[in-house]
Amino acid sequence: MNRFTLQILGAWNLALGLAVGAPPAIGTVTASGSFRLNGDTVLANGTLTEGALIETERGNLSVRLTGGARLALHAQSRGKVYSHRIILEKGETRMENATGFHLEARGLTVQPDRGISTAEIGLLGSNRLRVMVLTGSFRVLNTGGVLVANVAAGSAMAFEPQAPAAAAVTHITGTLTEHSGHFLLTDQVTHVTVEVTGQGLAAQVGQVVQVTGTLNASATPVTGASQVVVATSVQTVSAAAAGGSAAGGGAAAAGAGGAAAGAGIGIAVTTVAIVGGVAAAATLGGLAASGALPGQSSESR
Amino acid sequence: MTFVVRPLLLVVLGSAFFLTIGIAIAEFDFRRNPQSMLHSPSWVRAANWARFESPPDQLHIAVSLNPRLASAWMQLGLDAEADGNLEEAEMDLLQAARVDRLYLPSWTLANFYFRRGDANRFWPWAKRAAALTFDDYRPLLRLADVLDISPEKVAIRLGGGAPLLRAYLDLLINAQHPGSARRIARLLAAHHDPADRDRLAVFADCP
Repeated sequence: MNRFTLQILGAWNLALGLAVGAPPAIGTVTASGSFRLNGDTVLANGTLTEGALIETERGNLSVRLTGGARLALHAQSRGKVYSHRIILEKGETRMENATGFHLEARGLTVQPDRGISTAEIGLLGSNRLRVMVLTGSFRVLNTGGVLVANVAAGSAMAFEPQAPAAAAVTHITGTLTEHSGHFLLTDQVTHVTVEVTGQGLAAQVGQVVQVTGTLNASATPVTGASQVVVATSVQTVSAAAAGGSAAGGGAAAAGAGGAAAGAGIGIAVTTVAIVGGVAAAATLGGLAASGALPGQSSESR
Repeated sequence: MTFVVRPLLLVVLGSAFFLTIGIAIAEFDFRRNPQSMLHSPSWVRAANWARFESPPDQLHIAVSLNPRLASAWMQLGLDAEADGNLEEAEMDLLQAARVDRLYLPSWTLANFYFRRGDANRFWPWAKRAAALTFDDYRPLLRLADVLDISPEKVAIRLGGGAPLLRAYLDLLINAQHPGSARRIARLLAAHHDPADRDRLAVFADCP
């Protein structure tokens, strides 16, 4: 075997070694004590690989992914971590610096709009998800990728996916506007803009209305709207009712949608919307309790 | 004899009590004004500066007060790695291992080199961590298993002790890798420990 052949073989072995030896590490995890990583008890810190299952008991976990996203998994929480997402199975996590990263839980996807966005996201009860945005803004999507809510900094919302039978139900409230023959409405709770189709809409333009309808998944919405809703009922509501006492309507809607958000979880509900088959309620209390919005009172139901 | 021991015991307990109070006061002072602590350094106070998720400036103060504070060096190393300063990260982690020859710095360094894909540097630290592991070998074995496809090599490189082989065997059986498990079973059988009879019985009929 001549020297040239040996050099070729050496280079090949090196390349093979690097390929075999290249670890699938996606980040690091650190804690003040022990935690569970892929079912094993690990002390202080560890390496995350694709699909790693991390679980906390009493302390918090800090996750730093190579992509830049940072997570703080709170006590009594569990999640499966991938390079571009986490599936939250239990508890609560803080998500920050998460450009290109998202969280999945309860069939919902929570993703930041901007890199500076920070949110506390947690599971509530058996079927709700809470998103509390501290900086920036976050988008919440349903299983079909339909935008369910835009959550801005300083606000918190609770979400509850509805039963499959009610998945297309939409119940939104806002001022109806017209653009080039298309009717648009931005929901006051979810801040989602939808295109509304149906009879008698022209007469309601400029008014605050409560629209109940079904999502038309096959239709392409006009620019500025994320989805098309075929209205089955359009009711005018007073501005005061829309802003303050819509809770009644919301509660009714929640009832219609399957006893949705609001009841008995220690959060206050101002109103409830249903978008893309997901009941969404703006909540108070969480941010006020954390001190982010001092002076804001909460009124638990 | 009792006449001597009893006062001595009281002195020891009293010292421990005042030390505990001292640590609590130092922590309170530190949380109130971290910079004021610079003028009164002591190893007791330094420990309070190197807590989980402390910012790097506090960690630097902690190691300047007590250069033997391995937890602070490790946190500094992990922070540096997250910021992409790999050279600094390695130096900090190696410093942690110099001042603390127990399990954690070795485990942290093994993980660091694993993430870097540096197998040559991974194995010595992994072996050291394996030698110092007192309960769960599995996290270390999972890393090692990724870096080498030969289970025998993994076992030998990590020291090849019976407790490690047992843990490795159980791991491979649970992961449903019967071929690899059989190879580790042979290594374990060579230790001739009657305690392994049941564990190895599964492989008795295998060639």
